[in-house]
Amino acid sequence: MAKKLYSEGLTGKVVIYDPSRPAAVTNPLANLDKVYFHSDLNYVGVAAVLEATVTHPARTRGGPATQHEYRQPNPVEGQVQSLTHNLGYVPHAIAFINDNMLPANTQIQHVGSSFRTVAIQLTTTNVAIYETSYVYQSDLPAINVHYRIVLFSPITPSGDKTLHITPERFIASKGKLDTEKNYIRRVATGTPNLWFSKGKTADVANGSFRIVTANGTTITRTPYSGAFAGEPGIGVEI
Amino acid sequence: MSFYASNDRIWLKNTEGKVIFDTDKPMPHIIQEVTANVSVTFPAVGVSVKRVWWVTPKSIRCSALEQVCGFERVCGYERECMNIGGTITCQDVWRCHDEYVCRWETVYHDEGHIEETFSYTEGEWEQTFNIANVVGGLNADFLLVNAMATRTKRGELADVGPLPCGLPLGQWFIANNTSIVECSSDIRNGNPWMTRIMSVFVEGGKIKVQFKQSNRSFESVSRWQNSACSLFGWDIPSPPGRPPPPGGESRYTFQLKIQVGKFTI
Repeated sequence: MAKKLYSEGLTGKVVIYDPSRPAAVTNPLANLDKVYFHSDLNYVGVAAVLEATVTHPARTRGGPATQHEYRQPNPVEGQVQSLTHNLGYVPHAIAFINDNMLPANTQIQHVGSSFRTVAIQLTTTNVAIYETSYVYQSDLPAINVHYRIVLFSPITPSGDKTLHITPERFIASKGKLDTEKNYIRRVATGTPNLWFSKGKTADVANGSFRIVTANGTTITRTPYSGAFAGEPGIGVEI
Repeated sequence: MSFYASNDRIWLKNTEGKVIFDTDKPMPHIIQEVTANVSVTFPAVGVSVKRVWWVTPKSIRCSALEQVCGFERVCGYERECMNIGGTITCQDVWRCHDEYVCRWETVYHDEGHIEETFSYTEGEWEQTFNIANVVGGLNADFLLVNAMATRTKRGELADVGPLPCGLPLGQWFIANNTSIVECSSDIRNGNPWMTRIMSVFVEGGKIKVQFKQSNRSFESVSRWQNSACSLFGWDIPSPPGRPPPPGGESRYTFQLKIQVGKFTI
């Protein structure tokens, strides 16, 4: 299919589109099936990728002589690790917990009735690993968990170059398309860096749950009895 | 940097040779941003008090020293004398008669017991809210969701007590696309028996949030007992210390910031 690169000096607009639909230049949202790139679109950029291996400490029930009763667990809630991004806004993000895009508050450890969950907390300056542990009859030993959190940002134009091509750099539409930035692209084959999803990633039935992550991992906790299959995510590379 | 353009493909490489743009690889972009506040009441689980009765006959715990009275056959020799012709003749004669007798004895009464547990009925529940239509009737490809939870009522269930919620309440957290709100496990084996989730998803051109709750039937490990002796009657009250049956109703408000995305072709 033919592709046309169109650059408009007055507005700074740059479009790569199928020339069989000229309206794609002026109204990209209504003609997305003919748009390869349009500087009016709000592309998803990668602001930061934060990684850390966190040692979640052992959580005990308080001592062998003072075994907790069922109704008196030893609860611990709070941040166990904070990673700085200093973006100045609360970014949208995708988190990998040991290479899986697990839902917030997923159990990462359970021994008997004792369990440990994590959620990824976001602020304008930090990303925090938020742990919740409830220790009933069994102690929770320390565990190491690897976290990779991809923070997104809109790609905002800056400068005044509508089309700038040198041997070192390509800039279009005031930096909306810039060889010095990282763009996310769909991966048809190979191993994606992360996955986008529009569907549910967990279900409940018979009191328990099944998780089907956007990257295709299935975690079923007995006695889940449903038939949730999830919805495949779209793999992308950075 | 290299810029390549042909009739059917355009791509760019940076100075390190890495492809940063390629018309053969669609790029994600945000077509809509939606904010919403959604309140939900996760309903109480059906629960009743299950009472079990049994009797220990002649329990030592229900013994008492009591005066036991009744007629008894009392027998013995009695001297009987007769005057026969001026001569008194006596002899011992074995005789019996009934006599009312009372004695102090240890009496063992029956002991009645009750044991009470909480019995939960299985249930499935869900509630779905439409948040917005996808702009322009487009078919969205993905969502990026941040959420902030505020808990306005903390549920409580047997065995586990107040329900744990692992979400950082009052703080933003990553909520792609399902979040587990509460999960309560069977303390005997750790298997979840009640789970509550929130899912944000796209369906039929609409952005929706769905809350689901599932629990199976469950009898609490926690139990309370009481006993009474038949000596004092059988009207045994509920065991001391048993709380009202907790149903586990929890209430939350979720603040959602949703980015709706689509890929170029």
